[in-house]
Amino acid sequence: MASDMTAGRGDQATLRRPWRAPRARTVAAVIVVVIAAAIPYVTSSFVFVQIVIQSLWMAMVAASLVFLVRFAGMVSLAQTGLYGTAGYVTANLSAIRGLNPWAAAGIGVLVAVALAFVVGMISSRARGVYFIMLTLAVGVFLYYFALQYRPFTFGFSGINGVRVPDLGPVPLSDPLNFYWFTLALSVAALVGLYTFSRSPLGLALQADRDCPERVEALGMSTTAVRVIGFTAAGAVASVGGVLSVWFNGQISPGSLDITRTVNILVVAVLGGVIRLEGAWLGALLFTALTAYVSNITNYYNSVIGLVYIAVVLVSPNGVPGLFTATARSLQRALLSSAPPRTTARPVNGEK
Amino acid sequence: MLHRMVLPALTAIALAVSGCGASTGGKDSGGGGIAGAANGSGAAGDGVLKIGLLSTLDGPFAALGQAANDGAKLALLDAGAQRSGTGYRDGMTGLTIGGQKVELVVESSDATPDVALAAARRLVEKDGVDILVGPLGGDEGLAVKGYAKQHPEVTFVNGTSAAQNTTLRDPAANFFRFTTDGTQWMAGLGAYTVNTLHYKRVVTVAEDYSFPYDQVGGFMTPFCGAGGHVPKKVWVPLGTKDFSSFISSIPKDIDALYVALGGTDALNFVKQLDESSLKGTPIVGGSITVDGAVINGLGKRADGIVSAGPVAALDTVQYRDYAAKLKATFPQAGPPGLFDIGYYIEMTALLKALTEVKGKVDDGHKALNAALAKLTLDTPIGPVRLDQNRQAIANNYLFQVRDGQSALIQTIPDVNQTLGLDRAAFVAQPANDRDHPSCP
Repeated sequence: MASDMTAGRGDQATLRRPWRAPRARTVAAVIVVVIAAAIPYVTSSFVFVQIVIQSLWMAMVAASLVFLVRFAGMVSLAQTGLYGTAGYVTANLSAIRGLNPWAAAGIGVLVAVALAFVVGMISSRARGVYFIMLTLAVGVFLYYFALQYRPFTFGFSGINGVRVPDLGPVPLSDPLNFYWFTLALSVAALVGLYTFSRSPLGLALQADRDCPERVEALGMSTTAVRVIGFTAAGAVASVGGVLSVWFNGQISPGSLDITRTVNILVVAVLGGVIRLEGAWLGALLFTALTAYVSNITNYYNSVIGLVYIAVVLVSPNGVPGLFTATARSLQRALLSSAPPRTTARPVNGEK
Repeated sequence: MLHRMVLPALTAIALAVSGCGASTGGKDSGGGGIAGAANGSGAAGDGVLKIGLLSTLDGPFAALGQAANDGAKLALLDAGAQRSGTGYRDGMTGLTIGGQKVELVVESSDATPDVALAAARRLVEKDGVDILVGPLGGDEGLAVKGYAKQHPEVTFVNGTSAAQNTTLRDPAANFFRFTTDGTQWMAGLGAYTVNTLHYKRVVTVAEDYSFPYDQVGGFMTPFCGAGGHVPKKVWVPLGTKDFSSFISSIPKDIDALYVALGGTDALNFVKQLDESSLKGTPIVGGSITVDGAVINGLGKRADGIVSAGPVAALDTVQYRDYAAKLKATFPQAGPPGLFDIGYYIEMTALLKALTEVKGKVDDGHKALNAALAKLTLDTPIGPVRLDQNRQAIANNYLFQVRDGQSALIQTIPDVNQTLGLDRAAFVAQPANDRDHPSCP
C-alpha cells in the first residue's frame, strides 16, 4: 500500500491493482483538501496559528529528512542546521540590513542550498553511522557558529523583529494568508520531492540506497547522486527555515540546537519514514502533544518520549502506518472470502 | 565526543541565564512574526483574572526557575491565595480581587528565547491570560517584549530578565519591569574603583556574550567618566579553561583587573593569573563573579575583592520578613537570591496594582497599566519605582570580601537605567558591546 507512491514500484502496484489504489488515493486526496480548506474556519485561533501553521513549516524540515531516509538511506542530523542557516540569513538581511524581505529570503535559501551542497560533498562519501556523525558535527558546528559569531548572528539573543512581507497586495502577516502561503509551499515541496524521487536522478538515488556497488558498475558516480539528493532535501529544509523566521518573527541559536534536531527526528519517525506526507501528520501530532500534554503533567517530555517509543514499537511506519495497517486488516476482514492478496509486501524505508 | 560538545553549550546557557542580561542582542524593532489572537476565554470581564507565570523549569537551569516560582507564589500567598499543589508547575487559587477570581497558570521555557516565545504564545493564545509575569532570562525578555507589542490587550510584567534594551530602547508600552537591568547591577562600582580604590588603569576580562557586555558597560561608563582608563578589553570565549594566552595579552602597567566571569571560570582565571607575572594584581568583580565557591576557592586571595549587585541581605524588616517567610513556606529553597526576590517583587507589584484598580481589566487594561506605571514598592531589597519606560529605579549594592564573607559596604540609592546620566545622550550612545563603551 505504502509502496505505491514509490517510482517504479508504483507501476507494478497499479498493474496488480488496476482500480483500487487510484480510487483510495483520490478519496484520501479529497478528504485532505476538504480538511485543509475547513481548518481555518473550524479551529480556534490558538490551534490554527500555534499548532496547524507551526506544524506546516516544521513538517517541511522533517519532510526533507524523511526524503533522505526514504529515498537515499541517509539519516541526516544537519537538516536543522540548514534550516537555521536560511533563517539566520533571511533575518539578518531583512531585519538588520534592511534588504527587501523577499530578496533576503531568496538569498537565505540560496546560501543554505549552497551550504547543503558543501555538506553533501563532505558527508556523502560516508554511510551509515559515519554519515550520521558527520551531519551531527555539521549541525553542532552551525549551532555554535550561531551562538558565537556575534557580528552576524547576535549571539544568544539572536535576531528579533523580523517582519513578514506582503505578497503583492496580500499581507502575509495575516494568519489566514500565511496559512495558505505555507500550505502552497508545503504542497510544492511535496510534489517537488516526489517528482525528484521519480526522476532518473531520484531512481539512481534509490538504486544507490539499495546497492551502491551496482550503481557504480553502471558507471554512475554514487557521490554525485547522493550530493544532488542531499542538496535537493536541503532546499526544502531551507524554505522551512524562512517560513519559521517569518512565523516567529525572530531566530536564535535555540532554533537549531540539539533539542530541535532531535525534535525533527521525532517528527519524522512519528510520521513514518515511508511517505513524505507523514512528516505533516507527525508535525501536527508533535506540536499538539507539546501544547496540550504540558497542561496535564509536569513530565510532558517523558510523555512525548513514551508516545514515540510506543509508535516505534507498535508501528515502525509511524502513525500513518497504524492507519494503513488498520485499513488493511479491515479490508482483509471484509474480503475474507476473496483469495489472500500478495501485495501487502513489507514496507521498510531503509532497504 | 557528544558529551564534550554539549558541556560547553550548557555552560554557555548557564552564564547567559544566571546573568540574565543582554543589551547588544538582536535588533528589536518589535512586532514581526505571525500574531494569533488572544484566547477569548481569558478576556476581560469574564469574572476570572488569569495570571500567566513564565520561568525556566526545563533545561539545565530548572533550579533557577524553581526559585523564581517560589518567589512569585510567595507574593500570591502574601495576598491570600492558596496553592493547588506543592509542585513548581501547580497553579494557585483562592484569591479574589474586585469580585474576580485570580487564577495562576504556570508555563516554562528552557532559557532559549525561542521556547520562551512559544510558552508566552501558549499562555496568551491558548490559556487566555490577562497578565503574563516573566520571563527569567535576558534574551528571553527581548523576545517576549517583541511579542508584547503584538498584544496590547495583555499586560506583561517582567520576571528577572535583565537585558538593557528590553526597556531602554524601543520599549513596549504594556511591558513593566520592577527589577533592574544588567548595567544597573554595576552601579557604583566604576566610581568606587577610581575614587576609593584609586585604580585608574583597569583591563576588563569578561566572557564574550551579551550579559558581560552589559556588565562591562555598566562598570566602564562611570569609570571612564571619573577619569579611569581601560587600555584593553579581553573577551574570552565561553567555557574557556586555559586562560594563559589571554593573560599574556594583558598589559603590565595596570592598577587592577575587572573580571566578569561566571563562578568557577573566575576561580580558574585567578589561579592562572597568579602563576603569571601579573601575580597579585587587584581584582574588581562583576555581579556573578564573586560567589561562595570562588571565595572558598581563593581563600586569602579573595580578601578585598569589590563587586556590585542588586540583592543584599539587608538589615530591614522587609528583608527579614521575606527571608523568614521563604524558609517557612519553601523549606527546600536556599537563602534569598536574585531569582526568587525578583519574581516576588514583580508579582507583588502586579497584585498591588490589580488591587488598586479593583481588578478592572475590561477597559483594555488602561487603569491597570496606569496603576502599574506609578506604583511604588518597599521591597526586601529596597524601594522601587518606575521611570517613563516602565523600568525600575532601585538600589544597587557594593560588596567587599572580608574574612571570607561578602560584606555590604555601600548602598547606591535610586539607580536609574541611565546610571544618572542624561537620558537622551545615554540612549544615543551605541548599545553595550565588545567595542562600546571605550576609554583607552
